[in-house]
Amino acid sequence: MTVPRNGQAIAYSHYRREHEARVIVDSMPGLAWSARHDGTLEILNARLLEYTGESIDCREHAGRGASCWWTQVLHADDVEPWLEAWSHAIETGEPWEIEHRLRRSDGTYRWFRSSCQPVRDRAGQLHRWYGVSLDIDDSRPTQEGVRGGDQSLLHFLDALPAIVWRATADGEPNYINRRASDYSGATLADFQDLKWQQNCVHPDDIATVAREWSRALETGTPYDVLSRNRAADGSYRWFHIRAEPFRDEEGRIIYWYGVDVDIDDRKKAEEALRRSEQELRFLIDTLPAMVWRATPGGDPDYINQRLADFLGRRVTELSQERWREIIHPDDVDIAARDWGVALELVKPLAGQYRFRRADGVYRWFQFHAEPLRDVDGAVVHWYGVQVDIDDNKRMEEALRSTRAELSRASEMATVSQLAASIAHEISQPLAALVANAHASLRWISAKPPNLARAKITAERIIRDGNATADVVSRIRALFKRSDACRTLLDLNEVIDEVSRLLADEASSRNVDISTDLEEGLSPTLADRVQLQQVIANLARNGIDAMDLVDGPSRVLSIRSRRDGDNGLLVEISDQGIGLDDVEKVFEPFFTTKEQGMGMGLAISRWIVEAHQGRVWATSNSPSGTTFSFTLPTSSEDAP
Amino acid sequence: MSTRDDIVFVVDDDFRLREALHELLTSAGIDAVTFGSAAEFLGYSKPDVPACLILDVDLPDTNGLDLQSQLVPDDHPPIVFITGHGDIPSSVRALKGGAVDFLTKPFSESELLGAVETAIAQDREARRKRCEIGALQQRLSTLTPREREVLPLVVSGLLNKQAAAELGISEVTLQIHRGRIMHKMEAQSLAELVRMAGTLAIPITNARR
Repeated sequence: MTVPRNGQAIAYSHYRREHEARVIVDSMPGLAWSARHDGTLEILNARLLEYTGESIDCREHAGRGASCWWTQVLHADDVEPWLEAWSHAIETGEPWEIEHRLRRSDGTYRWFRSSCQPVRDRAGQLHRWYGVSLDIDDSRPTQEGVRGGDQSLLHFLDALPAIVWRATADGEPNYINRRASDYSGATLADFQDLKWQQNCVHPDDIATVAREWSRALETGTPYDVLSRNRAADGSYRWFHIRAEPFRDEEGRIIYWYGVDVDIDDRKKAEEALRRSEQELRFLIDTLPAMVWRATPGGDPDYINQRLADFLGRRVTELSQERWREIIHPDDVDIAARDWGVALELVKPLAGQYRFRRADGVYRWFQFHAEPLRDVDGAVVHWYGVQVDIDDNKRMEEALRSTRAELSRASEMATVSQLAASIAHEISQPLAALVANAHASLRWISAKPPNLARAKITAERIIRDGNATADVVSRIRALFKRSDACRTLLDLNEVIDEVSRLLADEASSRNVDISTDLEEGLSPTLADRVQLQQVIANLARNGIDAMDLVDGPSRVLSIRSRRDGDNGLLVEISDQGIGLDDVEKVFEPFFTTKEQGMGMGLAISRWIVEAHQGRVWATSNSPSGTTFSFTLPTSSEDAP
Repeated sequence: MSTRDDIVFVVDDDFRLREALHELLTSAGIDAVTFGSAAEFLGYSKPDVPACLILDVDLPDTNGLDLQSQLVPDDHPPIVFITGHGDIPSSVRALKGGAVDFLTKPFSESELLGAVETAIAQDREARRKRCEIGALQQRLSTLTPREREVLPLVVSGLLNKQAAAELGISEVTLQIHRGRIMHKMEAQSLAELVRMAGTLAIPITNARR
């Protein structure tokens, strides 16, 4: 320890006194010092020197000047108040006290409270100043630095990306950081105004904020609310506000320290997410399809509203194989198999099954399922969509049967069409042939005969004759083609089909079709379409014949009979005008009808004869005609 | 070799039949021109002679019956239809449309030539009539307005006195008009004038009471 010397002028007795005083000063539990009346440092006690680690030559350092010893050890921010206090004291001679930071030998600053007392001589003249500095750092809350002006901490608080505040135990704000005032455009005084406080919170949040804050103040438990706080520009942003009490050693609340964190962007993002989730759900629930999700094991764990409404079930009522209850019994095994395969192979599934509606009606659905896999390829979920295709399906079926009927009907219609086209095909070369023949004759009979021209025309006759023959062979080929189409047929079945097909046409023409079919006929090997054509042709012929007859009984009867051991007989009888010549009727171009080519019966005969059968006509008594044809029974099937 | 002044047009898509008909008509001393389609026929500039059109019902570019209804009446030769399959409605339609005949293939020589001759005769008559009407209309156009008023009265068989009274003119004046009408119309007799008036379809306004 260094003991400063004050001067040689000091007498020994005086020195002893001085020394005693010095011992007292040095052993004081504080930092002590004395200064002359003008503030020039005189004595610093050992503790002070020890604390600061600084020596001193007091004569060189005035207590008041900018270069005074204190300036080396005081905190830069405290120098000015210190010097001010000194000058004030020296001017007025009054004692003074100041809190300040003092640098310790290790470079850290601690808070001290320094008091300085003037000593006067008997004449009342200011003689000396005695000062003592007490370390108050420990008793002073660290946050005191905020008020006290720890600039770095203040900077730190201002730089924090949050609003920081402090309030007294009864809730009055007594510190706000710069961000708080920047955001709100308000001062601490504004914050202390209760009315302003209410205005700065969104009207919808005031109730919650007020309730929570008073609850926190009353119970001393942490305060934690979300509220919208008004910014300087009048807009509101969401904040997460939290505050905790700071207590003294006795547990009394000294301050509330609060932080407001701006969560507006997050909040908005959350809201947007929630909204988009809602929209997605709304979309999923309203789109005209049924959507579901299933676990990797195949148990449904989500179905959209539309599907739930359709099934009249919740998703929980579908798991654990209960989904089998909603699929048509005829489809459930197929669906289970398809689904099993899809689950096993983790492959998308598409199928059509009937699902049971809440009211028990089954409807057809197009069903799709696809797995969603994670990065490792494991199935996270199965997603599915199913679309009601019942109406389409029904329409399709109706269309299919209509088409089938149409094609049958058109097969029937071909008889007359075929007849017309055959007639045209044959009549064309035939007409040329006839004309050439006449021309040829004329050239020969001319005077003088023109044999050259006659020869040319005769050659053309041969050519046209061959062309006609070609047409005929083409038609024959047309009928031969059907050998491949021959199958074992139940004749009665074919008759039934034709009667049904002709029923409408007949009834529209006021004709009844009656059938009289012998049971148990052997099958015949025939082309179904051609056989239909023959029967339909003969039947139409009969119906046509009755067109010209007025009478109560306009019945077309179709009978089937066994004909000998190996034959079948069909008879189609009308009560029409009858025929003059039952032999000629099967010849091509023979017709008694106003509209008709006279080919239908000829073709019928070709067909029957191609099947090794016979066809003929007989006149009925008193009127009408019966057309009969025979067909051999199949030898393959003979007993 | 033909000494005839007429011609037959044949429209059929079958070349063999066109050939055969051409041959037949030629052997019968009739000139013939053949066409494979309606368009060919319509594009042909036809000579101004009595003619006949043999028309197939089924043509590649149009239906013969439709062609018939498209042709301007009185400005085409009479038509003889030929068809591969003659149905009643078609033939009725053809004949109602003014066709001379409707023949179903194959047809005989006499059927065809008969129809052709009939058609040509019809056309000849029609042409003569058109010619005569043309001449008469030419003469009629030389009449004065008053003479045109007098003509219907005269051909209606009114006496001069009655006709004069009808127009409020003297009988002498009427006789002068009548003489001029006879002269201008080149009528040798009242009977001929009446016939001309009939041909010209002049209405008989005042029949004798």
